[in-house]
Formats: sequence, C-alpha cells, structure tokens
Amino acid sequence: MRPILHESLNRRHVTPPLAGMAAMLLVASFSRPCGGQVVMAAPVAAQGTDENAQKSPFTLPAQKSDVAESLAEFHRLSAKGTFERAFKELEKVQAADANALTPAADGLYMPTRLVVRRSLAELSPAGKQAYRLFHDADAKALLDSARGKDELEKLRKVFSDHFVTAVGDTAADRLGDIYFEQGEMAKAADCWQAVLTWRPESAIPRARLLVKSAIAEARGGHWSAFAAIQREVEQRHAAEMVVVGGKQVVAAEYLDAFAKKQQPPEQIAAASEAAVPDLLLPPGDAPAWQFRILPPREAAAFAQVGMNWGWNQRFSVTEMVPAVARDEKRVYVNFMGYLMALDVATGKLLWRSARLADLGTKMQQSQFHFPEQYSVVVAGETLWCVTRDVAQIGQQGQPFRIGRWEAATGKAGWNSQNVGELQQWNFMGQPLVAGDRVYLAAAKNGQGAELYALALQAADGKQLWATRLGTHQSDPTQMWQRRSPQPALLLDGGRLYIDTQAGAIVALDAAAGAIDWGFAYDSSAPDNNNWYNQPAQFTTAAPPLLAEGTLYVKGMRSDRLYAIDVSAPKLRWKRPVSESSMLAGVDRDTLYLSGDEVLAINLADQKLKWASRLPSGTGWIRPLLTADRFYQFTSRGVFELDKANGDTVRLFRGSDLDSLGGMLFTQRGRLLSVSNLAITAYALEGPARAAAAQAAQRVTLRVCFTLLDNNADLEATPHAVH
Amino acid sequence: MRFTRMIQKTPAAPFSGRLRAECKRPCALLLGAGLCLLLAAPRAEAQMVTADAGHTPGITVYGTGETIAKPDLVEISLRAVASAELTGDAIIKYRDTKRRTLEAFDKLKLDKLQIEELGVSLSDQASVEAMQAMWRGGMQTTNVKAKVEISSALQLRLAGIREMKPEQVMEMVGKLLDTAKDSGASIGPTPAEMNMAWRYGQQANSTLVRFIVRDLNKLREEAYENAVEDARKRARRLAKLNGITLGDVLGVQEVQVSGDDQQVVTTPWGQTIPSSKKASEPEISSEQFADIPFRVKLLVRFSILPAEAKTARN
Repeated sequence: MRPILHESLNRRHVTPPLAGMAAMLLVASFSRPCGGQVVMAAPVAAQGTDENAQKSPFTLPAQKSDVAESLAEFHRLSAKGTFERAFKELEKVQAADANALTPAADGLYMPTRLVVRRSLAELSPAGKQAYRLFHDADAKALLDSARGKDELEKLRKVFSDHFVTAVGDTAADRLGDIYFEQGEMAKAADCWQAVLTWRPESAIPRARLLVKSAIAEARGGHWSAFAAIQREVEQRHAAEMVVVGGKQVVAAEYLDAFAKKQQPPEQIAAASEAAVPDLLLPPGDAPAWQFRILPPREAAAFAQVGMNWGWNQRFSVTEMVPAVARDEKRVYVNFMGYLMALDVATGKLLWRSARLADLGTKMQQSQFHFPEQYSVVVAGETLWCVTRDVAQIGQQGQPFRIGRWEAATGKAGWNSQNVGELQQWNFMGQPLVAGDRVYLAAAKNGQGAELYALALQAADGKQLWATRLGTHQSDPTQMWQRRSPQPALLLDGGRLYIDTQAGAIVALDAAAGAIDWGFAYDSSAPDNNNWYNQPAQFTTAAPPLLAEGTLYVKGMRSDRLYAIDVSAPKLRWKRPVSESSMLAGVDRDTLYLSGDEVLAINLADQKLKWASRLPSGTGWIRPLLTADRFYQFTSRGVFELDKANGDTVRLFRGSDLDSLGGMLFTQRGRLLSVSNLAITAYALEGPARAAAAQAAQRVTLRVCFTLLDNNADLEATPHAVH
Repeated sequence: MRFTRMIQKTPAAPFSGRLRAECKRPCALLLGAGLCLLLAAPRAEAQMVTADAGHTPGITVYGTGETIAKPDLVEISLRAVASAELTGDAIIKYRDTKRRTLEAFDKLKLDKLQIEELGVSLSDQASVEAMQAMWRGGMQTTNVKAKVEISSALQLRLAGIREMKPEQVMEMVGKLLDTAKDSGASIGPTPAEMNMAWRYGQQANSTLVRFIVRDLNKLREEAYENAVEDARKRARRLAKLNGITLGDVLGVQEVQVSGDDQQVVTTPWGQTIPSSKKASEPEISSEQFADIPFRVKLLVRFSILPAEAKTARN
C-alpha cells in the first residue's frame, strides 16, 4: 500500500526532506549515548571575570565622561611633574558641576568638589608648592571678599578649589563655623576634619579643631565619632586650652563635661554594651492571642497565585509577610492595601480600612501585585503607609501612593492622590518620618527605572525636594513575577542614606537633598523576562546598618558585604557572602547575617566565626537580637541561637506552624510573630517582660532624641544604635 | 514471570535445514544480512540459561522461595551540605552543620542509634536557575560566581524497632526527622536532583526512610529450602503431565536472591549507578514498616529418567 503522504504531496518535494531526515537519523544513530549530559549540570564558573570590577545594575548620576578624563589627565600630568598642564586639566574639572558625582576608587562616587579637594590635598609637596604659586593670590582675594550674602559661596569655592593654598585652612575653619551655626553638623565636622587630615601644618590649633569637630559630631547624633575624637584629645591634647563660646577651657575636661551633660541615656547604655537582655520564651506553645490574617480558604488561594496562570512558579505574593508597625497600644498591618489596627494587649481588631472580602479571588484574577511595595510606619499618633487602593489590587501601572491615617481611629488624612504635585509619583519602600518631614523613594509614573528620593512636609504633603538618584538597569515596576527592590532609608544626623537594594547606595544631605556621595556595589541584575516553570529564588532584604561610623551594606541581590567608613567616605572592606543573605544586626565585634542560614562575621578580620543553617519558608524575615541571643521565626518555630557559637539554645515551636515563618518583634512584655498567615503574641516570662518593656521604652526615648526610625522596631537590633 | 517454566525435551533442529529450496534469492540475501547482524550483536547474558540447555534432555524449572520478616532497624539518609564562594567559609559552614547534627542526635540519648559518615565530597555548586536556563536553551549567566559545595552523606540507623508498634516506630522516626531538620541537615532529594528528575521526565524519589532487615542467615536458609521444594514440585508436575519420570538434579542456578544486589543505587532521575557506599552485610529493605519478603529464585534442571524399553510385543 502506498503511503498516504505520497498521495497528498508531490514526491519531488518530499524526497529531499526525507533524505535529509534519514541522513540526520543515520548521524544520530552513530552519535554517542547522551549520558554525558549530566555534565551540563556543572556550575557556571566565573572564568575570566575580574574580581575587582563592580557590576552594578544601577547607574548613579555621574559626571560627564570628559570631566573624568580631565581628572585622570590631571593625575597623570601631576605625577610626571608637569604641573602647569596638570592644573589646566584641573580647571576643566573645577568648571564642571561641582555637585555631580565622579567615580573614585572602590565603587565610590564622590561629588566633584570633594574629588578636586582631595586631588589637591594628595599632591606631592612640589605640586602643592606649584599650585600655591599659581593660585594663592586668587584664593586670598576670594577669602578677603567673602563677606555678606556671598560669604558662604566664596568660602565653599576656596575650600573645594583652593584648599591647599595658604588660606585654605582658614576658609575651611570659617566655613565650618557657618555650617555649625546653620545646624549642618555633618558639613561643619567635615570642614574641620579636612584641616585635621590634610593640613597638619595649619596654624589653627589642632586641639581647637578637634573640640569643635567633636561637638559637631555629637550634635549630629554621631556619638561614636565623638568618642573617637575625645580619645585623641585625652591622649594628645588633654591639658591644652581652647576657646569655646568665648571662654578658655581645658580641652579634655570640656569634652568630658559635654558628654556627661548631653549624651542621651540610651547612647550611654549602648556604649557600655548594656544591650537588650535576652528573652525568656514561654514554656508552652499557647499564645496570648493570635490574629489570623487570612482564613484557610483565602490562604490556599494565595498559595496558588502563579500556579493557576500556568506559569508553574511561586510568585512573591505566595510567601509575603505583611508590613507591620506597632506602638505601645496597637499593632498596625498593611496587608495588600487593607489597613488594620489590633489591640496589642488582646489582639482585638480595633479598626480596618476595608473588609477583606474576596481577597483570594482578587489575588488570582491578576498578577501585578508587588506585595513588597506596601509598607506601614507609625510616628506618634499618625500612621504612614505606602499603599494602593484595594480596588486596584494587581492592576499593572497603578501607582502606589503615600498617605497618613490617624493611628487611633484609622481616619484618613492627606494622600498623594489628592496633593497635586505628588500625583506623578509611584512611591516605594518604607517611609522615614523625622519631625515634620517624611523621606521616601519614588519613581515617576511610567518611568520606573528612574529612582528619586523625596522629602515631604508631614503636615500637608508639600514636596520639599526631589533628587534623582540614578537609573535601574531593569525597571522594578515591571518585576511583577519576583520580589522587586524596594529602597531602604536610614537617617543619621543630617545625612540620609538610601540603599536602592539594586546595586547602589546614596548618601544625601537630608536638609536640601543634595547628594553627598554614592557607592555602586556588586549586584545581579534580575531578569525581567518571565519563564514558565521558573524556580522561585530565595530572596531576603534588609536596610543597611550603621554602627560606630561604619555603614554595612548588603543589597538584596548582591553577593558582597561592604563596610564603608562614612566619615571619609571610604570602603573599609568587602567580602563575599551568599546572595540570599541579609543584614540582621551588628554588635561590638560581630556582624550577623540571616536568611536560610545565620552567619556571624568577625569585624576585626572579616572571617566567618560560625554558621547555623535554619529552615527557610519565606525570605520576608526579621530576626531579633539581644545581648547573647539571636531569634529567628522559621516555618518550624522560633529558633533561639547562642550568639557565641550559633548553637540552638531552644526551639520554640509556638502556635503558627502552618505558616512559612516571618518577622519577630517585642512589645509590652510580649513576643510578636508575624507570618504570612497570622500575627501571634506570646507572653514572655519573668524578667524578659521587663526587658521587653524597657526595650520599648528605649525606642520611645530614641525616637524623641533622634527621630530616626519611627517604625519603632529598633529595641533589639543593634543597627539602631548610632 | 515468577512462574515461567520451560520444557525442552529435544534439541532444536538446525535452522539451515528448514530453508526451503524454492526461496527466492533476494529473500535469502536479506535473511543472510539479518543473520550477520544478529551474529554481530553482543550476546545477551539472560540467554545463557537457555543456550546450553538445548542439547541435554531434561526439565528446567524455576523454583521460588519466600520468607518474611519484620524490619529490625530504620535507616535515614541525611546530608550535611554547605556552600560558599570562599572555600574557607564553606568549610566552617559544613563543620558547624555536621557538628550540630551529630550533637542533636547525641542529645536524644538513643542507645541503638548509630550515625555513619559515608564520606565528604567537594564540588562546584551549580545554580538551579543557571541549570534551567541552559536546559531551556537560554544563555548562561556569565557573572555567576563559582561556589564550592562541601557535602557528606550521613547514614542514621536506629536498631531494635522490630518489637515496637507501628505508632511507636512512626513517633521515633518523626523524632529523628525533626531532629535532622532542626539541626540543619538536609533530607530528601537535592534541588539539583529534582531538576535532573524533571529533565529526565521522572518523578523524584522522595523516600526519606528505609526499613531494613539484617541477620538474613535464617531467612535465607528457609527461603532456599522453599525454593528447592518449589522447583521439585513444579518439575514433578510437569513430568507427570508429560508422562515421564523425573531424574536427578543436573544443575542449579541462582536467579535472584534478596539482599545480594547492594552495590547499585537508582538516582532520583531513574539512572542506575554504582553505590558509593562501602560493601556491608546483605540486607533487605522496604519503604514501609511492614513485613519484608526475602525471596530466592532458582533455575533448576532435572534429568529425565529413560523410559522402560518397549518392544513390538508389548
């Protein structure tokens, strides 16, 4: 019988393909068995990669390339001793935007003014001599004319462009005084420190500069920096007299008296290592109360998001732990735009912004949820949320807005939808409330790759400043299938740090929004393409830690841990860590990372002291650190680890074992666990109750003094100690 | 399969004698070529049984014997795994995980619990995502940093479960599994194994626990006796049905003996590979806490006694 194929197709057309196929089959039949494919599972080695090359998927707003080229030429020519040509190149740099960032070593990006000043300060003696020959007269003229309304600008010009001239130190000292009077303590300290560091031959008494610098650091809340300067004064200038406030005082005695009078009590406690006492977990698993966020049917629907669309993968919403804040009276939850307040003593629902009707269905009807973008912060009697209207759940392109609510009643105040100039913004990350200001990050609607920092007036939402921080390689607003990077903010003194969580951290002047410096760090670029059956990546995220003048940075998709000296700024060290790890806390000699394993890193030599592998259900975790213990809420209960060696002291199963684990807080003698399913309170035993209450009190004190982080979750995390 | 039997009273006639003379030439050529191919093909070992059975008259039968026993120990395979970009970090992580796992089981104070470390391996850790990207035909990520993975298999064996009730055994197994998980040890297939299983279209083997019977001597003796008896019964039956008289045993071959094949393991993706474990005494196992059969299967060949001479007068 003739094959059917031959009846329907012309033989001439069919024969060549058939012959080809036959040939292919013949070749295939002689090929070796495919057992060797197992080898394909071998890891992708980083062959030929440069270890020191920064690979950041975030681009900082850097200076134009010709300016960087001029700067490089200046360094080359000055090294050769051809100073006249070198200074010509430097003039091009000085003519450029002084505030634009210029790449420096180790991933740091400095404002051009600072780069110029450093470049001059690092010149050889012959180079400095030559520079003075060319510019002393100009600098002196500028300094002499620095009076009235131009005083500040002219002093700045001398300080940045002519710091090595004969009058550079005088200009820096005067500029420091002006900044101090204006309350810009970080800038004042920077001026005096520059003279101390780069102009050791200055005629200005060193003790006087040290004392002024120490006071500026203390006024800025940097008591660790104050302590370091105080030690130097005691060791080298103890008996020297300085003039402070028109009075002759002994330098060391003055600083000692100043510290005793001005240092906040929690800073004294931190300095004496009186950390939060360990918690005494309850003997039984029964909770004091439990608030089930989702009924089982809804929880099951949540767990299926991503599977029912045929993607066969876990979207981040399936493991999300809702944003939570708390104060002395209440626990506040922002669950996908549904705001709730619970009584911290009883767990009773006090108010909610909407009924959680059909949430599971809403979750399954769309995919663009961005659960990580919802946040809540309580400051005093006001609740601040970055949220999206529940009617817009999962709708792609709908912006997240910032708004305020009355904490006691849930009554809504202003939100960015009804403040004209804020309507263009899609807000991100957790807002940082300090006094009458709210700091936060945002992108303009439809321009998700461009990241900005904003300062708003708390009372009415008026935009005080907006600063462009840079550009994402991958637009986070398109990252609906995985956890998108949400910028984390940290305020220290007058400086605002924003970790993009995507390859860069930026330090800004909180008052005006000007960028002080930036740092680009290694980070993998998330793929915005979505694949069927794509495995879920275990991802964690935590804000940077600041302790003892060192900023510790670990971006959410970075496999490097960085320690930056913020006073210089300068990269102190970096070391490889797991990409899935997150910063958990730091004490005097150890830095702790968490994730699916807890790591303790010795700060002195950056070596790993110990590691403890823990069950991992969700990457949305928040561990708790006390004096000697490390607590982490996992899918198998709360692990209590010994900070000395990482051994499990106790595994408290608790009563939320259906969950994936999540975050831990203490409040009013209770341990609060927040999971993807429930909020559970456990009564702490005996002295730990007092400890938790003391910790909460300490938070209140700290908020009063520094207004740093009004999320009020800092009582047990050493990163709160500045 | 188990009851397959074979009778061969006469040797097979030579194939060439059966060829018909009128067979056409092309047909003969094809057959010749086919024969050549068959001759060139490697010899299949399973054919050995019948290959030399063709010329001697006799009755060849399988005999199977089975005895059962309750498991006397439970085995759980754990892994202490650690990976890091710096080998020094990986070593510390591995050291801590292993130490905590061993200490956690020590704290259980179970006299009959033994833990054996089956060796440490160091390998490059493949990213699951990179592996899948390759399988999808995508580009490899070039900036993935190589990680060292240190892994050792820990074999946990708890003896003395034969006398326990199933509930007690489950409770004890649960305790061991919880201890393993809480201490940081890994159980079950690795992500890489899961991927391989997916790649090969197999269901990953998710068995966590094996129940084992050791001390097989008595079981073996009984099973052999039963197998020999079974073979004799079958042979007698065949002899009777065919009107012949069963003679002596001409040969015996072991076809299957439970517990003998310890040196191969099946990967979660269905591939059979040599076991990395050192040889131990034979044992039989099951994934269930239930009576485990010990089986012996023999191939026994009996002779056929010559029939009494018959004459025309008879």
